[in-house]
Amino acid sequence: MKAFLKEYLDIIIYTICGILIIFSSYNIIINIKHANYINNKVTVSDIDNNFKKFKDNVIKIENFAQDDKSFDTVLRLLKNDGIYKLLPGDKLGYTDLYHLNNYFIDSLINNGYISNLKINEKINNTIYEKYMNNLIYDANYITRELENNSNYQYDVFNNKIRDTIVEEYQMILKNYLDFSYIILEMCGNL
Amino acid sequence: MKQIINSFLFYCKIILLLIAFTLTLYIIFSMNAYYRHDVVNMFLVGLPLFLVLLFFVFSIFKDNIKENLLFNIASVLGIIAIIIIDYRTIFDKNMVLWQNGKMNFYYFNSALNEIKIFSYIIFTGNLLLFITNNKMSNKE
Repeated sequence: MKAFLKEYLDIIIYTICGILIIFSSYNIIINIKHANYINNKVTVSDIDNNFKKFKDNVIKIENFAQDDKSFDTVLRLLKNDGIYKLLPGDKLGYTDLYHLNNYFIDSLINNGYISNLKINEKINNTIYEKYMNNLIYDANYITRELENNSNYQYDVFNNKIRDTIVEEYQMILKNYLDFSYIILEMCGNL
Repeated sequence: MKQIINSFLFYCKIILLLIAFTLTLYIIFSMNAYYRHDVVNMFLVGLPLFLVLLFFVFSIFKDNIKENLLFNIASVLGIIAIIIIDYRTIFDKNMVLWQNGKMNFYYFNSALNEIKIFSYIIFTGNLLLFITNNKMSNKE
C-alpha cells in the first residue's frame, strides 16, 4: 500500500513538473516574442500618398488663411507638432503613435476645432460637426487599440502575435488628412 | 556531472526566487500606493512566493529534493517566467500604458494570476517531494 502511494505521488510530481515546464516555457517565449513585436517601428515614407497630401493641404490652408484670422490657431497647431513635424525616414514606435493620436484629440480637435472654430459665427458648423464626430470616434478607437499593446493577442490563423503598428499609423495619418480636408473646405466656403 | 548541474540549479533557483520575491513585492507595494488598494491583494500574491522560499530553504537539508533534476529545471523555468513578468512591468517602455505611473500596473495586474499559478505549482511540487522520500533522479 505504501509503495503504491509512493508511486502514485511520483506520478503526480512528474505531472506537476511537466505542467510547470510547459506553462513557464510558453510564458517565457510569448513574453519575449511580445516584447520584440512591440519594439517594432514604422518608417515615415515620402512615397506615402496620405503623408504628401496632408502636407500639401496644410500649405493650402496657409494660403487660404492669409486673409482670415479665424484659422490662425488651427494652422499654428497643425504646423507645430504632430504629423507635419515628421520627416521621411523617421521611425515611430507605439509610444510615438500614442503621442500623435493624443495630440490630434487634445490639440487639433479640442483646442483647434471645438474651442475655436465651432464657436465661430462665420462658419456653418452643422455641416462639419458630423464629420468631426466621426474623427473623434476614430481617434478614441485608436487610443484604445494602442493602449491594448500591453496585452498580447494571438493571431491563430497566421500563427503569430497580432502586430498592428502599421495599420494604426495609417489610421492616424488618415485622421490627420481628413481633418485637414475639413478645415480646407471650411476655408473655401467662407 | 549530474550532481554539479543539480547543485548549480538548486542554488540558482534560491537566488532567482529571492530576486523574484523582492521585485514582485516592490511592484505590489508601488501598485497599492498608486491605486490605494487593500493590503489583502499584496498578501494573496506574497504568501505563495514566501511559502516557496521557505520550502526552498528547508530543502537545503533534504537530498531527495536537492538531487531532483526535473524539479530543479521546472522551478528555475517557473521563477524565470516570474522575473520576466516583473522586468517587463518595470522596464518595458514600449508598452503604451507604462508611462502612466512609471510602471505598467495594467500589464502586471493581468499577469498576476500567472505569478500565482507558478508559485502555487512550485509550492505543491515541493510539498509533495517533502512527503515522499523517493530519489527520482537516482531511480532513473
